Amino acid sequence: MRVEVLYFAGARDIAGKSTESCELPLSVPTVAAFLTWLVERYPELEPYASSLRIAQNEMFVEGPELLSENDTLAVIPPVAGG
Amino acid sequence: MKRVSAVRTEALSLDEVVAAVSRPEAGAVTSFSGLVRNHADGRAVTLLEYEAYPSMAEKEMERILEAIEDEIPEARLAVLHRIGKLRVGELAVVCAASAPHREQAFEACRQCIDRIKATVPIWKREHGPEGPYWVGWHDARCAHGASGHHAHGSGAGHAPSESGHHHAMSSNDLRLPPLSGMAVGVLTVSDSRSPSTDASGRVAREALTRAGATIVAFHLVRDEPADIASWVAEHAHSGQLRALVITGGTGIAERDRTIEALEPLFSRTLDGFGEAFRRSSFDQVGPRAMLSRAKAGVIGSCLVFALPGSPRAVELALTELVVPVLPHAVALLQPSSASPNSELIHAG
Repeated sequence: MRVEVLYFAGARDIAGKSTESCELPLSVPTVAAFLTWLVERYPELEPYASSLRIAQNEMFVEGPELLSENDTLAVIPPVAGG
Repeated sequence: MKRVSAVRTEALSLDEVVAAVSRPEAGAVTSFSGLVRNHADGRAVTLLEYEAYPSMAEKEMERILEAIEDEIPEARLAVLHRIGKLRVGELAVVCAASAPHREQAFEACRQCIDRIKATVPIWKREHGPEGPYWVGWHDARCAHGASGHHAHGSGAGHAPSESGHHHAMSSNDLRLPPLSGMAVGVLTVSDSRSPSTDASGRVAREALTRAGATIVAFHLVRDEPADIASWVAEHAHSGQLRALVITGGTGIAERDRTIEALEPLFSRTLDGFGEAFRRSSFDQVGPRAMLSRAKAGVIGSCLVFALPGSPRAVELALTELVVPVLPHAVALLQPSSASPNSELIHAG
């Protein structure tokens, strides 16, 4: 499944890029599995993993949510607006 | 009238948001201005760099304004957030609320800035003598990294930016409040109250905020089971809330129908909560404790507590029962922590 991944703030610093197109294996059907996959891809994210949220097509989603082809998945570090 | 809610790179004007909400029927207009200050926890700040996920940030801001205007129907809101490099004293965010009366306007404005800080995907990088620093990022590692880093999507998942303002907290700081960063909701059920007279809802919000939780949804509904059920179902299943506290409608009068509204929604009930609550309540009010049907259960992955409408009962239930158990209970409900031993550990 092909998805577009966006990285912001501290997560972008670790990934070294702000966006990439990824082919996810069949073993990554959900948001929770995506986070695990992401941490394997960027081990430096591991200490932050529990504080990262995922936005799927511009909506916050939780672990059990299913991913779909051509999703835009944003890796959202703790927000600090205001 | 189209709402003013946007992320901008240009300088902001408070006048713009105030003008956007001003209207003949609104006798009160409140506003909030967030400015770049010259220090953060003892460190000098010379420049703040705001970054956003702009398209989502604007949608999220719109969702927040819609939700608040839904909860406080008399209120109208406008908000602008700036991104890019800002100097000390420049406006980073402005919001304004108008309503017929000041209570609603103050409440709406406060809800607006609190929720914007809690969930809108905007980040800031401080620049000072010690170099650039993403606010909240280091705390994210410290506060949550040690406690099982596979707890993805846990309630601790988005520390509110307040924690970013306190990076004096060290990695093993035990003073972190118990519900730090947890997203929760509060619902008041009452036929007679308005947002300004909703004492138990206020006590619930204050007790949860004091414990470190972030109130991301708040609403006041009549004692109508269908209205109660639809709001609870929508928010409990949204995936945003770890816990929902409901106050009111748990007695035995004809109009007390909160429990009837919730029962069909519960996937499981926590009978122990009602038992513990009535036991504690007995110490305060004696046998009258029996007349409360306070109840808790699980809807989706959200813990829902139905408490009486008395401020004193809400304070008791939250500080003595709910807050102490919530972090562990929330962790047990996360899919990633579903281990065969979880109940054994829980049962001790």
